Amino acid sequence: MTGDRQEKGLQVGKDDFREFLNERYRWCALILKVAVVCGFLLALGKAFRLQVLEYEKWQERLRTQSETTFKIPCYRGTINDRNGRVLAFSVPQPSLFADGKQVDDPRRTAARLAPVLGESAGAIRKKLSPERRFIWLDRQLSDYQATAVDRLRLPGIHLVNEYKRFYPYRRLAGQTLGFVGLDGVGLEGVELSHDGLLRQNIHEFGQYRDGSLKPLWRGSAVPRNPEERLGLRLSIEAFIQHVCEGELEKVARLYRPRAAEVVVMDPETFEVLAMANWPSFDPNVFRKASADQWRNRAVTDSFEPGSTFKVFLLAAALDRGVVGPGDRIYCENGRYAVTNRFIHDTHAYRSLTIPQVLKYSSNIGAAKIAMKMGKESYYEYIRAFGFGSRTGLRVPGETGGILRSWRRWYPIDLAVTGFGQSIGVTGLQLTAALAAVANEGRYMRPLLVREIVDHGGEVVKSFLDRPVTQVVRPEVARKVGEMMVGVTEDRGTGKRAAMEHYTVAGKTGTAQILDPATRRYSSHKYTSIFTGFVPAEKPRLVMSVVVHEPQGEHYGGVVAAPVFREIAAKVLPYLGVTPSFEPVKPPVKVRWVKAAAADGEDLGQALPLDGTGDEDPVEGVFMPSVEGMSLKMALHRLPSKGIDVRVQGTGKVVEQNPRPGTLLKDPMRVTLKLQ
Amino acid sequence: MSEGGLHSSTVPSWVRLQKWLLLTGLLVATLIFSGVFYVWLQIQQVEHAYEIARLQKEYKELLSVQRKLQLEWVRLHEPAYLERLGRDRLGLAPPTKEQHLLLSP
Repeated sequence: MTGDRQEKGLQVGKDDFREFLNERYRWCALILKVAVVCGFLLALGKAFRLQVLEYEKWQERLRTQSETTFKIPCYRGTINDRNGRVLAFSVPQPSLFADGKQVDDPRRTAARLAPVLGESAGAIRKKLSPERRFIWLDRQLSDYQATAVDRLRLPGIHLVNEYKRFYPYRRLAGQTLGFVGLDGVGLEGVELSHDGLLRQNIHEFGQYRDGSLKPLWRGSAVPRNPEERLGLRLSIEAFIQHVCEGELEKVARLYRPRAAEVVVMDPETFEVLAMANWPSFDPNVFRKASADQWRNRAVTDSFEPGSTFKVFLLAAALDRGVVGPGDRIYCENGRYAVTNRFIHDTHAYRSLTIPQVLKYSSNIGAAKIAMKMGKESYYEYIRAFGFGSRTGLRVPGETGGILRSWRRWYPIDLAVTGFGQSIGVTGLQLTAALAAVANEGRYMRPLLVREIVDHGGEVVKSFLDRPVTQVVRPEVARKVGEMMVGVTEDRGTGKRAAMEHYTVAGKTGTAQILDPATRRYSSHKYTSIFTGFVPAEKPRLVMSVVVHEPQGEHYGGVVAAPVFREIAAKVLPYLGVTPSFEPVKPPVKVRWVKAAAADGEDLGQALPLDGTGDEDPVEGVFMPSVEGMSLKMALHRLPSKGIDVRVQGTGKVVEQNPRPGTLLKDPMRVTLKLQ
Repeated sequence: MSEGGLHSSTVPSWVRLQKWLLLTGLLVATLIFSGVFYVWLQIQQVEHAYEIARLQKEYKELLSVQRKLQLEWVRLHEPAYLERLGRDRLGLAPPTKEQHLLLSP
């Protein structure tokens, strides 16, 4: 019994202990459960905070630590001339920037950068503010500068590539091409008008980098290659443009004008082959030039065309049948009254035929023809020739010129518009209108941008096809062309435009400039103009030369006509245009074997070109070319016997009579005009 | 059923164990190989990623050099420069009127 009791007591004690253990176990388990659940809840809460509430922040941090940007350059489109010569081209050029926080010693950094950048250390030090994370120090450095900066290994100083626009032919067609700012945006000229097409943004792709900032490409496809997408092919011909600019420089040296311009056009296609301005500027360093120099005057400035406008008056009058080529106009002996105003001719003429009105540039004759035409009819022709509205060349700042509605014309307005007063035209309009005369009366919109091309030069879009308008009948245009040839012949106002091997059709113009202050024509400011085409029988070039406010001389036939001749003389052989005729006198198969000089050599004995002397030498002495020489030099060149030399003026020989190559007879009078 | 039982009873247990071990070994080897191959692929991918990035940079730099040389070439063809070169270095000048030779009027 005692044993049973003891056993029972033990059993009870074990049960209690188990119960006690169970109780403790349960509590422990419960606490553990709660702890685990709380732990998970905390982890969940943290995860929720990181992944949901602070998602943006951590995503951004991830991005900055592991992601980078691949920048694939896309160069601004190249601009070429009509033959593919590069006129504007972009290349990467390094720019220098600083991270103010990374620069440890601004003073030392500035001192070391100063000699490389050519700036004072003080100025650089001022820029290096420690608060600013991005500071431009210099843009578009040269390659030498970039290498020198790179070698300095200055903390916080970095180089980054930007794309700089270069104009390899420097001043050539500066006003036409325009220029591009530091940020690659077109600011003037074709660069501005076609900015949307030429400018391409850099392609940027998000990619990864490692801890040492080395980039790695993990895209699914191979990254794009750097490229240049669309460029332009202009109608400009670089050599012709160069010739025009060179001749403008010469005329500027001779007459010191305020400005001058030349427009050359192909009369068949109305493509602008050259558009030159003086003073010129280099678009590579456009900031060195004034805004006035940036202007493409051939399209932005209008002027009174003066007598050159008689060409279009006659074309209109002949087309309308108001006058016939054989008609005569009574020219009132040089003074003609219209209402209360007088119109004068430079020389008094009694009666002139229609071609003579053009050849001698009679204002009275032109006024009478204009009045016969009538306001509305004449106005319609003026508009049809492209005056009074923009040509649509797509260059910034183009003006349509000045042409009031015929309804607002007084009789005197009609009369003076006949000889190019009270109307404003641009050099481009004048050239395009004359191109219509040269092109058998057909007018087209002038063209500067021929084609959009891709990087390989393949044409993406062509602008060559344009609507054609018949302004005057072809036979009328041909007749006017013939009349214009007379202008460059002997006694014509434009004889200085005459060429040795080609027939020139042209017209001179000398327009007084209206003084805006007094609203009267200035007595000493003129615009000298010559416009024409060559060869007259099959025109290849149409050209207008406009010289604003020349000093010393002001007649279009004296100032502008020689520019036309010189340009055409260089450009026509370049274009392979065969001469219209043989030169009047010099035998083509001879050469000058001796030049007259102080050393007593004879002048003008000619021998066959092969120099064998088998053929009979051409007998006689020929007039040498002495233009551009001083009087002393010219007298040396001329044969000493049998010549009566008459000299007019002082300076250098600008005109000689007879022309070079004329067979000199004994006795012979030679006239030299000096200026 | 009886055939299976007869068949299983005929194959000794050590053969079955050997077969099971072989299959398991193959499976493990395949898994290991796949794992190693996957890691190798990953490494290759990263290496190629570096290589592409490097080549891309090099291409960009070479293109930039090429464009600069192209620019230099174009500059050497500038009409004014050629004229100056001909005049100053070679003593050339535009032909005078007397030097013109008319071949086919």
